[in-house]
Amino acid sequence: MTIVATPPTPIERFNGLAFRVLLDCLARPGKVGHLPPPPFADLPPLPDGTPPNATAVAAGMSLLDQTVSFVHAAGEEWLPVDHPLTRWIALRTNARPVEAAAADFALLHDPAGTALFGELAAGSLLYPERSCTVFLSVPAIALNGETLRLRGPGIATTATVGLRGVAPTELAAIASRPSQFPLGIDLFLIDQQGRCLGLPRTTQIEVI
Amino acid sequence: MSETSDQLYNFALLDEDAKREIRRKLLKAVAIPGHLVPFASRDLPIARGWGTGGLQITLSIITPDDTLKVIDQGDDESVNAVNLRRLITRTTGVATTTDTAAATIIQTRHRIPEEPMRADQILVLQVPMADPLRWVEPNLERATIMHSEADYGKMWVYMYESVVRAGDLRIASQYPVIVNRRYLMDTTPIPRWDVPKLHMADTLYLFGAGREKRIYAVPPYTVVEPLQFEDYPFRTEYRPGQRCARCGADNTFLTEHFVSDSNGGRWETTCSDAAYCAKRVAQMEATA
Ligand SMILES: [Zn+2]
Repeated sequence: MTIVATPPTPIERFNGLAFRVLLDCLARPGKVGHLPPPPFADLPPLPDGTPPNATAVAAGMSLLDQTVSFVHAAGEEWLPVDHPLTRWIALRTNARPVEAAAADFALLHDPAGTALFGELAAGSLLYPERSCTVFLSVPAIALNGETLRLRGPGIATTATVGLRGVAPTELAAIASRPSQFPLGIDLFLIDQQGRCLGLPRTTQIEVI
Repeated sequence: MSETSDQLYNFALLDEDAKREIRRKLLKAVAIPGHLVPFASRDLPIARGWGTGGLQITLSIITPDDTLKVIDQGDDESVNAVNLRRLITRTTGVATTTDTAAATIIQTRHRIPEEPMRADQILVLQVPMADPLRWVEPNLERATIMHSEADYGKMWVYMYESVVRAGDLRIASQYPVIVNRRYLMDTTPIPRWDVPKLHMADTLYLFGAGREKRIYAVPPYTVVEPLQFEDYPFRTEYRPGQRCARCGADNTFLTEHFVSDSNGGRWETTCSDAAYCAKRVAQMEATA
């Protein structure tokens, strides 16, 4: 059969493969997915001079375009519109940097960003989908760890997952994130190795 | 799409913005099981009502490594299934199969395959009418408000009256269900035989309604309960003693079709899932 389509570009290919990992992880909380390597490496550094998690940024950017908005934070601080990384993301996606309450997507570059969950949109009963999707960078997701116990749709009985480098207060913030089904925020935790954990609003989370 | 055309289409036909929008909506649909998520349905080179909702989902999730199966009413060889499969493979180059077990993505109209689907597979269902509240509330905006309040009393009354009056449910296919104990959801015109397959399944179900511009989902391991009453419990079409005339299966959804023969012809009852039936026949012949 003649193929009448161009092969995907490297970024399109990343976006397509990354989406399947995100979809699978969100549909199966507790399953640890592996994102493909990010299609770029030249990201501007965070305010403290460290590089952001490129895989987490790329995964978030895979869903951004001119029709949606984003916000991002280092530590407990939202980064301003004129921060080089804000401009870098906006330039490549055409997504609008906005204030937290209006953001369709939030990139939290380290676990301290969990303190900001309460500022993000959780949707309304009429439009529960008008809520924020969060990409949270964490140091390490362990394949067979026991940090969180998960229950809910996508999980046959219960699942456990291990997180390293996330403080107790941050774990508590993840467990008690805004989620009053059908309202809530949906989380993707992404570590330095590109491992991914989906925590939709339906998941009941308990810190072990 | 002519063979000689110099024009090349995007991988998987849709432009990246269209795919991205559908991907965003799919994530919402998975996070809010059973909730109808609006999306900007695109025009495609097939008529609306011929599976464009399911097709747009498939085109947005497919990767070059996928193996695709397309069925219509359980049949891989129906004209509609053949056309959809050709459109997808010509714009992606993905491998295709008729074997449910070999597929990574199955796009379907009106059936869920008989063979249990696995965790590494996705079923994409084409949906003609997305909102089950249309039976009691034709105004979509008012129906949306009813969903937001889980205000399903009218629907329960409608279902109960129809069983009492007709002795059976008027809604024979696309049987309404409650998903994750919250949202009333249409199951699309799948037979009641397929409805229990949605409950606590291993696989992910994605639903696309092109005309109504709605996407919804049932994640794996999600509670899916048919509307039913103590005195009128949910029943499938199964009849004790039923049997496929071709493969002999006594536990499949059957359809009747006319077979011509020297006496003019006769009605034959066989599995609606044609590939499953053929697989069973081939296995029996191999061991005979
Ligand atoms: Zn059969």
